[in-house]
Amino acid sequence: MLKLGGKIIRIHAVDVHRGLTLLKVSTSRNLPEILRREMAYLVSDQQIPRGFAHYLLLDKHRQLVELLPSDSDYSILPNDYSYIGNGDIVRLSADRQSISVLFRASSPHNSILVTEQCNHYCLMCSQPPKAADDSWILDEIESLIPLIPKNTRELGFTGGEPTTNRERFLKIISLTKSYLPRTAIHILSNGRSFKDPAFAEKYARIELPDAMIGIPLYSDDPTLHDYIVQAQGAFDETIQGILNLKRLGQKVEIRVVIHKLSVQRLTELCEFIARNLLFVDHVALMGLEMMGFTRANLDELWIDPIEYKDTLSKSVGILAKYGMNISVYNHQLCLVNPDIQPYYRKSISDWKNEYAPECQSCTKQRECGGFFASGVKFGYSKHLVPF
Amino acid sequence: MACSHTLIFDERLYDAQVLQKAAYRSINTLTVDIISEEGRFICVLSLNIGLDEPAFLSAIQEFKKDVLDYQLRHRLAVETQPIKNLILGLAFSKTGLISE
Amino acid sequence: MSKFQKLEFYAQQRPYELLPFKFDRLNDDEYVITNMAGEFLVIPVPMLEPIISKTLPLSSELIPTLRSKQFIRFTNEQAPLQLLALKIRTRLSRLAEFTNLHIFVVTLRCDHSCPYCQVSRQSESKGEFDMTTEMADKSLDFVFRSPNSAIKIEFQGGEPLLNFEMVRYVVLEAKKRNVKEGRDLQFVIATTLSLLTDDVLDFCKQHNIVLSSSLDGPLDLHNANRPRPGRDSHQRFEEGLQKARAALGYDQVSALMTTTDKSLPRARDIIDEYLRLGFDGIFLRTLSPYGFAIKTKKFMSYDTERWLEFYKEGLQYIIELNKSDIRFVEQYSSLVLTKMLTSGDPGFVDLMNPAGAGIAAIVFNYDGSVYASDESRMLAEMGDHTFRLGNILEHSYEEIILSDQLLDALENSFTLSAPMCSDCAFEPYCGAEPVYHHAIHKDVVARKPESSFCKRNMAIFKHLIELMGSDEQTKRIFMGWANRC
Repeated sequence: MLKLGGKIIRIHAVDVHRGLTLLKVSTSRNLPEILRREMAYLVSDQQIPRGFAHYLLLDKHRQLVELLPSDSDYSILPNDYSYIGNGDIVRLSADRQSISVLFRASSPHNSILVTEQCNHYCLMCSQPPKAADDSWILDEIESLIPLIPKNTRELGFTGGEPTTNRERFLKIISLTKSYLPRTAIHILSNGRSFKDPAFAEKYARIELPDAMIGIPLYSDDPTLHDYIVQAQGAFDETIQGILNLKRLGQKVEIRVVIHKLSVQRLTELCEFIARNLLFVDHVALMGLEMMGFTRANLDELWIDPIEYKDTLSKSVGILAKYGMNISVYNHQLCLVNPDIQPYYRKSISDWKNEYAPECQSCTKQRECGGFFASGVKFGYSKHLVPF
Repeated sequence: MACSHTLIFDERLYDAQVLQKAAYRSINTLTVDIISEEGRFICVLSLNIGLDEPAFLSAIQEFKKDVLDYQLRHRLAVETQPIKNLILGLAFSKTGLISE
Repeated sequence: MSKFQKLEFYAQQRPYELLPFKFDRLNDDEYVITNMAGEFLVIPVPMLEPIISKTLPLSSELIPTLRSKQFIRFTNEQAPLQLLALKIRTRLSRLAEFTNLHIFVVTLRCDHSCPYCQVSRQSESKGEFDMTTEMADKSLDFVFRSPNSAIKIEFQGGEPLLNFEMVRYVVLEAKKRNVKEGRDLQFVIATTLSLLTDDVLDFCKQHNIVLSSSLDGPLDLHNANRPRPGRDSHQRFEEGLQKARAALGYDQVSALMTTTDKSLPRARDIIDEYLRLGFDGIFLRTLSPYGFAIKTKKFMSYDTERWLEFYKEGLQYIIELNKSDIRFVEQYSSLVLTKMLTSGDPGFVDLMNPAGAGIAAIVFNYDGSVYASDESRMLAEMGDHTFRLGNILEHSYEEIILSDQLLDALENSFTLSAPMCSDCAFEPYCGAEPVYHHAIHKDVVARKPESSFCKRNMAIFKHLIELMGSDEQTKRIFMGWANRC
């Protein structure tokens, strides 16, 4: 598990009023001077180019501080941050006490948190909502996007509910199209904002070349779905949102988190999707993450995946017969039936995944998605069997 | 040998159309004469030529079930007529829904 | 402190609203309910009335499924209406495409003399039973008047290969015109395969022509059904099949069976023969009541009940094959299942509403007559010209396609206005069959309780629904068929 944010060990801020909070990291010694002024240099040896706005050093290199140009801004970071590399984008907090890594150039899975506000309160939410006004994040994103490398393959937008502030959301999306025209965009949303045809049309008019909106649907029973997301009328609006988006030719993925509540009617849900939403572009069936609210609702949610493996097979089978695109994420290989194989994805974001002690001797570790770190820590199946 | 059986239906509980539909449905085994008299429908069921008594008993039972079914269908159709028109309107509207 | 609501908080408190649906008795214990989108649900008999009078408790297990198949909704819910409307629209969208199948009867001459044949037995040599190029040209004018982006031209007869020059002419001429038209053009030749030559095969290969042939069953059955001088119909079929597959591609030759009273006890044998010859499906057909069939009373020699036994036995065998991982489809069931399990329309002429006559298919006969369907042509050969829409040399496209014969038949047979059909729960799966009903009952609507078309189809619908209800694996297999997976 990678540490993405936390306290800086020591920062030497010469000029706190310079107001530079977002910085792109460079390890290049040959950058033109004019570009160095806006970037941070990651020090790893004695050759330290001058003229950078800020210098980053890991604790293990702290002795190199003496070699820095005088009057330099610098930060000493705990060794946990040794993964930082060229092209990464970091935010130094306004009080210069802490650092956040917002973008990792070497990772295939970058996600931008748009807001922590949400109109749902899912029992298993891995990013529990906060009501406070966090529109400063939107401002920051508008500064962040121009810094993201143009060759980035994929970029995600998450929350909370990213479309909470509709106009700002559309602005960010337009900005993304403008700065990153070749990047595949994945937006996680409950889809309800798109029930408004005008909003859906504005989104469609942006004409993103390669974008998909991932929308959760937890049951074919509206009452059960509304309960899981803790919002009255959610199912009805989500469906309308999906229909509007598809009418406008936008790509939509349906996401289902499988737990004790949603597994009850999982096959019915898949029949419902196949019969009513055949035109969606992808269906993702996902295992439970032990983070956030999940632990508070464990009694209602936790079920050992080995108990539902046949239901999962049946459900996938239905979608497959109807020719839909399917992926099964976040499950361990030994806990699913072999017929899932064509749809199994080794998928946990690299900053989250690990393996349990039982997996030491397993010959299929490479093909397996492993676990969320939260899973290893807080609970996982008692039926792991190494191959 | 001609077989005949009479059934009586209360006009307040059953629509004429319902009896007619049930009669129509059984036309392959029975013919039904329906008369309206003093608030009642009198249905005389006659077995079609060439069929035997067991077939007749069976057909009478079917007729009675059909009457109940058609009465229920009538209720359902009346109640759902407005929403049906709404749905068909949506289905054929120019501005909506996926084409293909 | 995070506050979560209980399930009850989200449960509906007020009664639900009924959405439009129909019902029929499936058996003594169960009803089946269906709606305009073709969704269906089997419920125990005692549940029907409470559902309709809304005395069903909101905690009932049935409620979520009734909601998700759009039989009920709660007030203000919009999604159920939108989904229903969308599915209905999808199902009907094929109508706007209009005519796809255009049948060219290039000759009546034939080298076989099958007792159930729909056309007159003309010897191989008479020349005046062939289509002329003038008729072909005019027919092609007609073909390209159809707005459909996909056009299928099927050659029939007699035996079309006996007038191969005309087949060649039409194919080349159609392709020439299609350069400008840009349609998805497909050609099929319905042939017994007994007269295949290398020339014919080369031409078919060059122009991607598919062959549709007849296989009635194992050798003894096939030859008994299909007499030919030389008594070798089956052998010639098999030789032709191998030759055609080698030249054109394995799956470029399909087979259709015809059922006679001789076929009825032999369902498994017939299917085995199809398996042996490498086909991946069979169409268990009924015997249509036209042409020689009626003249020789072949039609009367069996009834619907016996055919249904044959069908059920065949279907059961096929399901067993599928359970052993052998991919083999029963095609009639497949068409029905598409309507039961998806929002698609298989476009099968005999099972469409409005009727497929003229709308889905049209026939250009060797003598210039234009017929609403293949059955209409058969009927004409028996002296009944009710569904002759005109003559390609004398009448315009508009005169033919807007003729009273066609429009009246379509309108009068429309199932949603027909007695008994309009209330029938199985109407979404069924079709209007004006030509058949006219032929047998002298009425395009006919009295459905007397109609063996109705009896047969209702039995098939009920049977398929019962099979799906009683066995999950069968339902899964059927889903594959419905989606042609």
